[in-house]
Amino acid sequence: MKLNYKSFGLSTVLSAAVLLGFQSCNGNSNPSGGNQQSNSNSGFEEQDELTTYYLLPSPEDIFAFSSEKLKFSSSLLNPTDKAATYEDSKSKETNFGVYCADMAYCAVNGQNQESIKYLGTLKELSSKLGLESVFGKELGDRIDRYMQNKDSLKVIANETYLEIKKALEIQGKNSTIAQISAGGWLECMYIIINSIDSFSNSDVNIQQIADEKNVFESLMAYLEQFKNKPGIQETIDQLKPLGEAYKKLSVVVVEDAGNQTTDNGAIVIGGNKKIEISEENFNALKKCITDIRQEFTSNK
Amino acid sequence: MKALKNIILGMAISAMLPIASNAQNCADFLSYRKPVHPWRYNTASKSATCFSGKKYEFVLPLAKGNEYRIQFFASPVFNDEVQVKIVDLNTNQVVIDLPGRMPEEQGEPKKGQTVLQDYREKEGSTNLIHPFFDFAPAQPTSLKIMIEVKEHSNVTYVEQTDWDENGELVVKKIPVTKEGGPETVKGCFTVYVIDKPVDGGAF
Repeated sequence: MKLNYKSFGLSTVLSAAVLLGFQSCNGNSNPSGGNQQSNSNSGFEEQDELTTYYLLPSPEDIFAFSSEKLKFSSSLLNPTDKAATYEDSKSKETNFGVYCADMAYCAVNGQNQESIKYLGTLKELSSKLGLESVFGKELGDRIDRYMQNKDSLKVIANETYLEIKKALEIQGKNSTIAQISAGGWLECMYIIINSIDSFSNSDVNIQQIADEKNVFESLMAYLEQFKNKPGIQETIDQLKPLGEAYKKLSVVVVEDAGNQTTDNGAIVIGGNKKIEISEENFNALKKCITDIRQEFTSNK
Repeated sequence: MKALKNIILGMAISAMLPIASNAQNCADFLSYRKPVHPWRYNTASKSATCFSGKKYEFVLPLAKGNEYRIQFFASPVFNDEVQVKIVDLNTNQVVIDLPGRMPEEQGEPKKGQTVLQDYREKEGSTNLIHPFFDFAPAQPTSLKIMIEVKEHSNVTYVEQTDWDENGELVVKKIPVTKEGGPETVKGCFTVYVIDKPVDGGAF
């Protein structure tokens, strides 16, 4: 085919300008699929539009705090044979998060065979979410090499989670990341709160559940960014009662050491307001988390 | 008819341009960073696609019992022209408010002056350190990290060797003003987070 260079060149330039224009408009308004909001406290001169990213911890990071003090119980895991029953995208995504947390829980507790089993379930579910590439031969080889080593298994669990997140980011599936984050975070809370036999004011795991209020708020804000995507509003509605339960926790002023920096120069942040949790709050949170987890995993 | 074919072909080819530019994958940046013990990689780290002239926020929940180190990295296309402000959401206090770079005329940056430019460990040292910011939450809190990516300047700097007043050969950056106004450029901005358990009795 002979090209008419004059008209070809002109049409290329024009169409490139149009398409780049679209891209630029899209990018300027919302490069990540995130929301735009005005923020009066930001301190910048003018907040005409803004993209907000919520940075959430992985299940392995959450368990890193509590694993030493929690007794492993396989009865808390979501059975792997339920994976095949999740058919709609919402339950596939949230339960992918649930299984990520289960795998991390097994890995931090040195449960090698269980970890491999849950990794297999993630692999099975991943093909339904377009994530087959994460579970390639390289990961399989590494699992074979390191499966006897608890620390390596933890690393593999964490790296798998990060690879999943990265693959979804590349595919622009930010709402799927939000659903997986919701399922993963809730499963971590379910496991931790149901591993605690009885209430005690000094239990660090109970305090961790209370302190996770910050993460919960970020998670809800993150989900809100995608509330128009299929299944997200349902997840938000399911999690709302937990927000109500968290609101009932009181905040108390604790003694402030008054230091602005630590001995090694870190800036001290967070102030002197501590989230306090009573036995009544604890029981309410436990019931709420258990009920929502039941809804997430029951595949209704 | 031929012109129409060419227009369609032209549109098809140019449609590939944005696809190619979107293939830039910011998330890959994080794969190359490995913390040194006792620091651990924190999965909340994020490398995001950003545009010049725009503002971004990163909300990072932090737990008591850990110490956190945050570092920032930006694609060279931004020429370090950013402003970073960090607010502790528990107290609403601004804990960091720094530019990405020092103005050219002010010379080399020192520790605590910028968020992106490496500084010398000691005066005269050749060891360069990338800025980092350590935080120790006394209570669980969230940090709001606000990034303003400045309008892309139409001034670029060209390196030129010259003799200084001591007779030593030095590399100088000479500003060159391009024609036209600022253009929108796209790149990655990275919030890299690592953490470690707090030492006993740190505060």
